[in-house]
Amino acid sequence: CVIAHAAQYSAEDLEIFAVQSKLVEDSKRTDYDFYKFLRLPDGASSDAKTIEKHYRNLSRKWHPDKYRDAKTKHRAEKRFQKLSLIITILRDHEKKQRYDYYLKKGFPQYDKATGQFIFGKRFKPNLILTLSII
Amino acid sequence: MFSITFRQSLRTTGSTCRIPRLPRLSLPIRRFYASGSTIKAAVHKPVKVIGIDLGTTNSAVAVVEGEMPRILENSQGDRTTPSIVAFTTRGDVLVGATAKRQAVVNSENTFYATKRLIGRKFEDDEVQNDISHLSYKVVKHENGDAWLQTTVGENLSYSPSQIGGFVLKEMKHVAETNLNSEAKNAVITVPAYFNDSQRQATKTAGELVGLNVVRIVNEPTAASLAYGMNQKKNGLLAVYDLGGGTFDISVLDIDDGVFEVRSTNGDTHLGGEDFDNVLVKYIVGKFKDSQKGDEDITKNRMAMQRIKEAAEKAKIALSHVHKTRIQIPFIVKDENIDFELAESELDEMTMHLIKKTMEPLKKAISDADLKRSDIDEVIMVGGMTRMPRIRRMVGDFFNKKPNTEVNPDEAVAIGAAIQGAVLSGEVKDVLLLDVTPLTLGIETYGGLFSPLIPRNTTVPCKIQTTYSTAVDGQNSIDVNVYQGERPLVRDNKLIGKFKLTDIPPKPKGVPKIQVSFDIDADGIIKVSALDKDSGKRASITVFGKTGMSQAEVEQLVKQSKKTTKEDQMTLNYLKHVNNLELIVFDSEQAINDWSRFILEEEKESLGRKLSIVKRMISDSRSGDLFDVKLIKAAQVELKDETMEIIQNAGQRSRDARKKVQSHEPN
Repeated sequence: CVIAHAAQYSAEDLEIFAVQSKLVEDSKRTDYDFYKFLRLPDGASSDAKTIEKHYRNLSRKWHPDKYRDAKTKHRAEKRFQKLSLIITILRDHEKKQRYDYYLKKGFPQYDKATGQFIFGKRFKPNLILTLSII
Repeated sequence: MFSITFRQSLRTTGSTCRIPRLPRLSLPIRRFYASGSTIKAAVHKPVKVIGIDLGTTNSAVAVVEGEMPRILENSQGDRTTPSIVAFTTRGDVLVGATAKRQAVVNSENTFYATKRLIGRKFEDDEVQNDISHLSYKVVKHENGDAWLQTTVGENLSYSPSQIGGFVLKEMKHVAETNLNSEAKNAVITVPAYFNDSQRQATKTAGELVGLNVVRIVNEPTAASLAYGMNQKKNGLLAVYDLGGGTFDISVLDIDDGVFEVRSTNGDTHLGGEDFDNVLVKYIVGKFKDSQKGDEDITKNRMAMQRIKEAAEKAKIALSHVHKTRIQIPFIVKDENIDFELAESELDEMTMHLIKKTMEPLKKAISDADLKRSDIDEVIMVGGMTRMPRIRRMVGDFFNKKPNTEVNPDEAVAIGAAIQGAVLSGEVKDVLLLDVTPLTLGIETYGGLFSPLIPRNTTVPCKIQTTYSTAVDGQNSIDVNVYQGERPLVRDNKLIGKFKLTDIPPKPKGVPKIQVSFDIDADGIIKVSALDKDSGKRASITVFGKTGMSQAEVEQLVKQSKKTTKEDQMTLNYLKHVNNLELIVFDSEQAINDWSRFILEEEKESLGRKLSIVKRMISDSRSGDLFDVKLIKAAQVELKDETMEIIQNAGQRSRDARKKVQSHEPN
């Protein structure tokens, strides 16, 4: 049977963590984030229009259909897959808010021993978040 | 310890020295690479990719030539071909109009609207519901899929993919006759709301007949390409696609050649077929009201087939006129069907179907985070959108008159051809960003659906999650993958069951299995697993998946290859036979022309040979003779003998002329 990661996080949170941790892991830069990936100099304060514009330009560049050679196509595909998940999160107001929150306060660490995301300090993100969103 | 650090720092300094030089070095390489690829592109013509709209009722094929897409006509000169396949008792397979024409007399073996069954389980509600309307038999295959059974041979059964394959083969043939070259690569369209199983089954259909399916494209997206290529307009576009069997609504954002799908919704079991069924029911009811005899007409397959055809005809007529007459003489014994039907009556009896398209419409708009008034243009695709009531309803919904510039029957195939040309590199500056229509997720405790990739995520996309064990020493994990929007898995569609096996026995929670869920550009899902500790690929067993196993597909492909090989051989043979016939014509012509100078015995001998050869030709054409060597030998022999006779005759004619000349000096 399947072990759910950590009960205290919502599915949206886990989706955000999964994309973020993969991004950091692959880039080997601990300070890497969605906005840097989208080449947005203003980070989280970029407006929706600019985010869309950058997304579209990067799509034109990275979409695997733009490449014929198998090797470059594969590389483009890997990048585009990340781009796709990131834009899905940033387009969703609630998810973007959550992401920005964690970006500011720090992401939980993935605990290899338990297979869960945990915070170093005592912290209940869901309660605060829910309140802030409400 | 020290030495290691030292060496490391040395290496670091070394690389920092080299870094500034790297870009300079790579620049010429990049330039060379770029120029190399342009040369290559200039020398090698891009491989042609045809676009096929595999529709529920009709199919079409198109290709892009010189940046202009065009529909290819079939041998009857039609721009669309009925998606109907029939099997005759003689063992022939009929496709298209020929199959449709004999449907009344062979309704049990004439397969239509099989797209509504593709990639579905026999037990699915939609399938069970269809069975009562269909003139052919639907059976349950070993793996639980809905298959189709004939009454020919030993009740041979076919999968809907195979039937789709026959139609695709016909479309491939149409393309090849038009283009005068092999058409191996194809883009095939599917309803946007098709799930993984239905997409996979459609791809299989193409592979079964030797097509290289380079992409599965969503129908409304393809239609938007057909619209956008001409208009070159930017903005938000809604595509309302109501075809023979399926309904889709897609919202796209077009921006300088980037066609981005923002949201899609639909119903894969709603279309013209349902409208026909309503009308059939109405006609039957009307007949029963005035029936004198007591025969149950619904049990009479031939009569039902005739009613179905009349219903379809009346429905189409009412898109252009307000009143039509339904006339079916001698439907049973001496009774007839003959009454008038008004457009308003049809509108009223099908209103529940038209209304069914409104909910997906609203969902698509809200998923795209838009208001109805944000939509700049609405296009309508699919034959059913010719119905005036539907046009009015959609117009009212958006408060905007739908654009009628695209051809509802051809736009999808045209768009598929454009995407084919994009993939072959023939058309540049066009990019399609399509989405996955349904949320992908897995089953967690208590049958809950845990989403992994939300609907309307742009494809290709990929997400990874890590699984562990719940019990000490557990060596396998079951993962059930579903597609759908409901919170409980039992309300969603099971895509596949995966079992991660060979997990090394460790305390619970220690093993880390990373599972990747990929949705490729075709909207097809792939699952792979990696054991994080050992770095090894974890074993995955897939079962309970709809469709054919790889082995089954390979077996069928082999079979179809063998038949195409046989076809090729017959074709080659018949070419030789044709050549032989030409030689016969030439010989006969020569005997005629040189008759005066050919000896009687020569005439007789050649005549005998000609009559034997003629019999060989007719035997070869009827299939009684198959001997390439014999035909080739006959060609040589006949040619040689004719040449010899003609040479002799020529000699005689020259001799004769000389004689004449010597007798008449000056």
